[in-house]
Amino acid sequence: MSWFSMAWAQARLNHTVLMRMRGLAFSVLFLPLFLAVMNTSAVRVPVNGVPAAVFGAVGALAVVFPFTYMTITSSIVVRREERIYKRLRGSALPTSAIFAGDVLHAALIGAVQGVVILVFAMAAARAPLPQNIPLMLVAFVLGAAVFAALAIGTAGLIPNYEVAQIVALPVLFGSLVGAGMMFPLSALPDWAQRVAELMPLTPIVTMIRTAYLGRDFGQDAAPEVGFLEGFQVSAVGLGIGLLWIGIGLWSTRKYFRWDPRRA
Amino acid sequence: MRNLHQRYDDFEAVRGIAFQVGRGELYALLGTNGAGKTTTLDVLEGYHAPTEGQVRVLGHDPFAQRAEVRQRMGIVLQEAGFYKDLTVAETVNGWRRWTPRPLERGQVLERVGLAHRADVRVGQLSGGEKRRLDLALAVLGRPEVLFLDEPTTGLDPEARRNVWELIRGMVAEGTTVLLTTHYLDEAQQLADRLAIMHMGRIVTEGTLADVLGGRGTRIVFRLPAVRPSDLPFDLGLGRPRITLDGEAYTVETHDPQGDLRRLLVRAHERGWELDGLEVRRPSLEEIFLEVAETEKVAA
Repeated sequence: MSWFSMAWAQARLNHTVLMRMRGLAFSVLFLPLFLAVMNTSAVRVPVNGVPAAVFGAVGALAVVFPFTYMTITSSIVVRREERIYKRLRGSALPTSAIFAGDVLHAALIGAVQGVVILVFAMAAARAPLPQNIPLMLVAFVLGAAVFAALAIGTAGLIPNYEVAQIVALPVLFGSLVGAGMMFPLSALPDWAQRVAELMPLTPIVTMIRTAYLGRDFGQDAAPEVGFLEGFQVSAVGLGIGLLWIGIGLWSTRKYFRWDPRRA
Repeated sequence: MRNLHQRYDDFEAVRGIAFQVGRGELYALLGTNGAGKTTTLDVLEGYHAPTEGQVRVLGHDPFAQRAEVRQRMGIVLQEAGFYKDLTVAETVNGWRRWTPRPLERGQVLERVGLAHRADVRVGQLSGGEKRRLDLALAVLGRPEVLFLDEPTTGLDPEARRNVWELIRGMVAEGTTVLLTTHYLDEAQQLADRLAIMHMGRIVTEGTLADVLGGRGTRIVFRLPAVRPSDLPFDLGLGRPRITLDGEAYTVETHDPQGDLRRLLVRAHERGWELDGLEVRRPSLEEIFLEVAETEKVAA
């Protein structure tokens, strides 16, 4: 039996379990779509000549990542505290397939939601077709990796499911407000802008807009960029993303635990 | 397993033990809570690397070479969770998907006596039923080695006997079983060989006969209003050993035939009624208490 089929089996079981946890399932599956729709009308004025609704709808694609964070931390914390991890580790599953199944499951949910939001952006906000699809994919994989790494890295610090839900809220609101999703960062005071630029979701939002609209949203003027130029101007964002992945991995090594915290 | 030590922070849970279990054998580790049984199993199952010493399962290091043994062992943990919102059938299905060559779901549930509960949510199962589901998941991949950490704790007598039958069946098919328990009759019923652990050490080990041998036969009876000194036993050098609990005497002797004859003759002469007279080999319970007692004195 291949490693991938084991990881896939683990992802599948995760999904069955999620569907039984109605409250969490509702938040994880539908809240991002709801927020994306809201975000489309949140931006009031055109940004650098991009219609407000399009700017909002395209940025809203990134809303799936804080939910990836929420899905993964919740499921890790629940399984650790209920000693399901201990059982899983005693099964035929390799440890790497346990992690991979968790990440795969959350990333697939995000991908499906991403597609739904994309269709919505094109239908309701009349967004054009994405210009640089490979860069969009890079942005998506980076976003999933950053938030998965942060989820696994912080799960060790979260004592139980209730706290996991509470921790997910500031991650979500911080992401909505401070990542340039709902309004351009140039609307913030200068110092806040500098801080916001370093937040984990900001480079993802920028990269998605750059890829989608073919303009460098890393700069205030958002000049048009070509296909390869799109990758070049996204390099800094990629660097910030990798840095966050590094922080997540470091924190995983330091804080991750398989056994319940109360034990 | 050789010279295993396992320390947690300052506490040394296992303090130098060694044993070997042959293929197809059922080996029982006995001990009270905190004796170090679960810690020993954790190391054998590959959850932790040993602090000191060497551990091999099926010829491999279960921690460093986990990939080699992962699919060849089945584990029943003392305490492990289920997804309680899934049904029994969904749980087994989920596990089957990542288990190579799994048993059929119906077959495995039949075996542990849960077939009629397939559609019940795991959260609604009784303690005994959960234990049987533990077993079902452990045997799902036809393991060569089965680790059972107190598999019948909390079960009613009938459920225990069913689990014993299941374990006997596995052994008959050639599975090697390492079992921990604090039920002494369980070891007596199932084990080819056993070891008694106390405070991180193995204090006695061998076949049931080995462990029982070297210990006196018990003559037990109730006799009101008779002082121990009236009994016809030579009390020199502490043999036979007589203990009195209320009116109940226990005489531990290495000459059961002689001592019993002397006792019956005396009873006949004095017209005593020996109530509940019984002659038997020591139970593991008694051995166990003795071992614990000696350790306490030594400490």
